[in-house]
Amino acid sequence: MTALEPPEDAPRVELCDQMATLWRGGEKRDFTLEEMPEKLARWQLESKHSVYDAIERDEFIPFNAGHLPVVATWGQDSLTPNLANKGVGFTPRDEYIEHYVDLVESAVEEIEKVPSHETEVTRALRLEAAREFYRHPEHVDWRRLGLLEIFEGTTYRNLAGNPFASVLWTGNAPVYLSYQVDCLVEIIERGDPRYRFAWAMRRLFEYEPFHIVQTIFPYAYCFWIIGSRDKTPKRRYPGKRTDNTVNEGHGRIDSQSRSS
Amino acid sequence: MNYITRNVLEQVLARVGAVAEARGDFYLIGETSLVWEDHRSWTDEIEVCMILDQGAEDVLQGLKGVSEDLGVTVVNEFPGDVVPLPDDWRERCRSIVAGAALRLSHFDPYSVSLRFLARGDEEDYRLVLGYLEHGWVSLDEMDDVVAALLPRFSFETIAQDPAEFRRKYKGLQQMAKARGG
Repeated sequence: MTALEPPEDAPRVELCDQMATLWRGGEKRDFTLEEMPEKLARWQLESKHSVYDAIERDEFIPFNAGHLPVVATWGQDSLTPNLANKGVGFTPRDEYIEHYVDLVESAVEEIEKVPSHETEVTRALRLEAAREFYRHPEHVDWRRLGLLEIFEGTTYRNLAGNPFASVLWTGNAPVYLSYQVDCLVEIIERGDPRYRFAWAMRRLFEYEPFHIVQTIFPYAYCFWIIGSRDKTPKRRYPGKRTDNTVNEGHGRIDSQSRSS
Repeated sequence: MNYITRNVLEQVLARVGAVAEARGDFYLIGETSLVWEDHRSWTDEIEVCMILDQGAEDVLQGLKGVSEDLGVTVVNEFPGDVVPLPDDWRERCRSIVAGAALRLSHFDPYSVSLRFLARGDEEDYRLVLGYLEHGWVSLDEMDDVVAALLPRFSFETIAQDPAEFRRKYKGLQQMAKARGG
């Protein structure tokens, strides 16, 4: 066993249909899996297409909010969470994953025949492979997220001992769409098709300027969604409201809250 | 989430068109219009507006049946129930099928833009940006429409709150300009 391999009594996550089971210290706990909220899924799809369009036009991409949320993990005895922006993507549903692994790995095989710095030569092929997946949102498994581990640092240590994480996305003005999703985390290894898909998708864009080139990805994570919260900011009106178009409290705005 | 494509939309409209008694106007709204015109590949609910002289109950029943059969959500809403509309909104509608007893059109894109900007979710801005991209609306004309209508927005309802609407509309202008619009 190397220093980084989890101990034999490490928590274990098992999946069965719509349930995830965590085994830890001889105890079993079940969680119901949930799909990502529809508004967040729509935003993710639009974000992917926007970023691919920007790559196609060779535009500067200052930040990719859909892909780089803040991920919180914590050890069982931690007083505070560890926060880090992580690259987060999606994986195909099990019944489609073989097809998409083949599609993206074949594209990677082609682009590796060309010197890595010649990104312009392979751009069309790389974009077509990535777009093909997101062109079929019904093929995406919206219950799970895929992440690649690089440094085996605090996030990895936390997840190996306490396989829970929260993810927070925040979009741009004027909406500032923001969601937290809470996840049970499965650590997955190289042979797993979810690892292969995530790694192949990464390699499609490895040498674009927005990526810091990486070649070592010892593990991947499958974040199974077990809860979510809409954190998008809204103006507070009198009364409880979740949508600016509803008319709870008769939809009236009191005189003190008026502004122009 | 449902992924309603043009093909699904055609099935729904075929069911509506089969109601022999229907007379009047049937409008597509928002993303439903864009899907019909192949400017978007899917939407997650079908948004329509019906102003019928005859057969409304039968059309509603037909919509209910097809939405259950296909597992899709159909939202029937008149945009003027949410925000004030320009007086000439009927002239701005875009005809799809004219001359029949049941006329099919896209609801005035300016009115629809105002209605969805008033809600102001991420997809609402993208809808209006989609209208701009395909030349259904222009920022200059929208400025005129908003300037004329904003005094009619009421502080009395959250949906219309003119201060919030002004902020959202300014946000749309900036997004459009950032895209070179």
